[in-house]
Amino acid sequence: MLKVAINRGMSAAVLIVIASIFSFIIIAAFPGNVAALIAELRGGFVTHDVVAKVAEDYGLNDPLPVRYFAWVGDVLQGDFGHSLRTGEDVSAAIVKRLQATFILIAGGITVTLIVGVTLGFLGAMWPNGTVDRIVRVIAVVCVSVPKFFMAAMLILAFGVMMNLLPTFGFRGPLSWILPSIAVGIVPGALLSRIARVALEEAMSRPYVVTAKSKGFGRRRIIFRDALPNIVPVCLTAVGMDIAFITQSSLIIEPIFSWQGVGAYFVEAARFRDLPVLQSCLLLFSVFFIIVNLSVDLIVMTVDPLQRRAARA
Amino acid sequence: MKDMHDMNTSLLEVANLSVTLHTAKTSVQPVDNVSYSVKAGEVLAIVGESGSGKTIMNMAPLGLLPAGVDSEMSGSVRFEGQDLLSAGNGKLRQVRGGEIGVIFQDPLSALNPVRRIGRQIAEISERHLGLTTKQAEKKVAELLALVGLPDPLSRMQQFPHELSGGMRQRVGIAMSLAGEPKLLIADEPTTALDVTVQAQIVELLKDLQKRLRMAIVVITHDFGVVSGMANKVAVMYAGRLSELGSVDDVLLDPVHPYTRGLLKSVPSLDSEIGSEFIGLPGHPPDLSRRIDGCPFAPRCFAALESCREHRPPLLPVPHSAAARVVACPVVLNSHAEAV
Repeated sequence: MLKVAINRGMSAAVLIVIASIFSFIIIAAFPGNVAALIAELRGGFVTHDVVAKVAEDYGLNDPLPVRYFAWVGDVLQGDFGHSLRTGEDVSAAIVKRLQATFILIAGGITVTLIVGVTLGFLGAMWPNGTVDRIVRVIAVVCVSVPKFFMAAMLILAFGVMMNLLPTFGFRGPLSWILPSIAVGIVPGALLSRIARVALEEAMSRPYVVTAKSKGFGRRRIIFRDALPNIVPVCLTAVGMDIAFITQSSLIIEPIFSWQGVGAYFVEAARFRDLPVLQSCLLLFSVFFIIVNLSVDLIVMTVDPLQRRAARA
Repeated sequence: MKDMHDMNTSLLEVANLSVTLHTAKTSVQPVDNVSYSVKAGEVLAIVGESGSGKTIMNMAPLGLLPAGVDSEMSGSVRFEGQDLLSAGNGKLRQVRGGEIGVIFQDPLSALNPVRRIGRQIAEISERHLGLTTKQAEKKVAELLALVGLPDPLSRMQQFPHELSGGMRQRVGIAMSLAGEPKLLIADEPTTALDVTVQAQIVELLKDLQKRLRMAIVVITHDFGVVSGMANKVAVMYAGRLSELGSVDDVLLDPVHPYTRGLLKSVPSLDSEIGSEFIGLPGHPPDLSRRIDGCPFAPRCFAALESCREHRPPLLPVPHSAAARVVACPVVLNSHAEAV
C-alpha cells in the first residue's frame, strides 16, 4: 500500500516536471515579438534599439533551456516573477485571487454532488420509469448546453427576471450561488449518468441475486450491496469533475466579474503577460495532478479489490 | 421448528410447474409441466445436462432469476402448504433466506466483493432471526466454525477475494444456513471448484444435513454428488422430468434411455486405460420450439415412430417402489417383460 502510494507520488512528480516544461514552452513559443510588446506596454516611442534593450533585459535572447531553468529556479524559490503589464508580483496577485477560485471550485463540486447524487438516485430507484426518463433528458440537455450560455440563462432567470440573486461580483455567499450552479450543473448531470449506469450494472451482478436470496428488498440491496461497489467509479468521476470545473473558471469568472485566477489568466492572455500565463498554467496543472493523485489514493483505500492489487 | 411437520408430509410440493422465460427476442420454456416433492430431512438431487432447466425450475419460483429476465409460471410450488407462485413479495422475502436457503454455483461472483464476509452473513441472522448485531456476529463465528473454516473471527474481517475457492464456498454454505432454513437449494455447489475440494464440500453438506436435519435440493450434473449425498434423484431432459426415484434404484437400475445414456457416459475407474469415452449422440433440442412428442426421441436407441407424436406420460415402474416414475412407455414395457 505505502509502496504503491510512493510510486504514484513519484509518477505525479514526474508529471509535474513535464507539465512545467509544457507550461513554459507553450507560452514562450507564442507567436509575435514579446520584447516589442513589452516595450509598447511601457509606453514611449518604440524603436529597434528599445526593443533590443528590452529583449536583453528580460533575457529573451537566451536559448530556451537556459530560460526554462532560470524560471524553474525562481519558481522553486517562490518567485513567480512580475507581471509585464502592471509590474505586480505574480505570486502575490495569485494568492489574492485564490479565494474566489477556490470558492468557485468548492461551490461547483457541491452543486455537482447534489445534482449528480439526487438525479442518479431518482433514476436508479425507479429505473426506466417516468422519473428516470425526465432525469435522462435533463442530463442530456445540461451536458449539451455551452457553459457561457448556461451562465447567461441563469443570470437572466434568477437575476433579471426573478431578481433573486446577485448577477455579478464576489460579495458574500449569495453571490456565490449562480456561478457555482453555472460550473457545477454540467459535471453534475454527467455524474448522475455515470452513477446511474454504474448502479444498473452493479444491480445485474450475481451478488445482487445472492442478496435477494437472503430476503432483502430492492431498496436495501441498492444501498448495502450495489452502492459500495460503485463508490470507486464515482470518486474517479468527481476527480475529473474538479478538473472540469477548474477549467470552467476561465469562462465563468469573467462572466460574473470575479477576481479569480481564471479571470487573471484570461486577462493575461489578452496582453501576452508571459510570467502570469506561465504561473497560472503551472498552477492549474499541478492542482490537477494533485487532485488526481489524491483521488487515486482515496479510491485505493476505499476499494478492497484495489487494496489487494496494491499489495500484490 | 422441525417438529411442525412430521417426516411424512412434504416440505416442498411442486405440481405441474411450467416456466416460460421472455427475453426481448424470443420466449423459451425451460421447465415443462414438472412435479416432484421433497420431504423434511430428505435430499433430492436434480440431474440433467446444461440447459435442461434445473436451475430455472428452482430459482424462478423464489423470484431469484437474474435482473432483466421476465418469467411466467403456471402450476403450483407449495412450501409448507403455502403456494409460492401466488405469494406476495413480502411473504417471498420472508421465505428467502429464512425458510429456504440458497447456495450458488460460483461463490466468487455470488459474494459481494467490497463487503466483509462477517457482515454479509450476519445480516441474514439479523433479518430472519431478529438477532442483534452482537448476537449475529457470535452466530456467524459459530457458523463459520461449523462449515470448517479455520480461525473464524479473523475470516469475518476478510473480503471474499482473500479466500480460496473452497473456503469461499464454505462461506456461501454458512450464508445459506444463517437464517436457519428448513430447506436448502444448492445450485451446482461443486461445479466451480477444484476436484479435490468438490469431495470435501459434498462431505460437508452431507454432514450438515444430518446434523441440522434439513431438506436439501441439490442441482447437479455430477453423479458423484448424487450418490454422495442424495436419497432421491430426479432426471431432467429438455425441461421435463424423465425419471424420478430413489438414488439406489435409479443409479443401479436406470430405466429411461436418457438416464442410461447419462450413466454410461460417466467414466469409471474400472474401465481400461485408453478405453473410448461413451457419450450421448446428438444434442439437446431447441426449447423455444414446441415439442409434441418425447424430446429425447431423436437421440434415443429405443425410439418408435409414436414417440415423436405423443408426449410420454410419467408412469410407475412395475415391481419397484411406488415413488419411482419414468416417462418412457416403450422401455417400461420391455422392462416389465424382463422382470
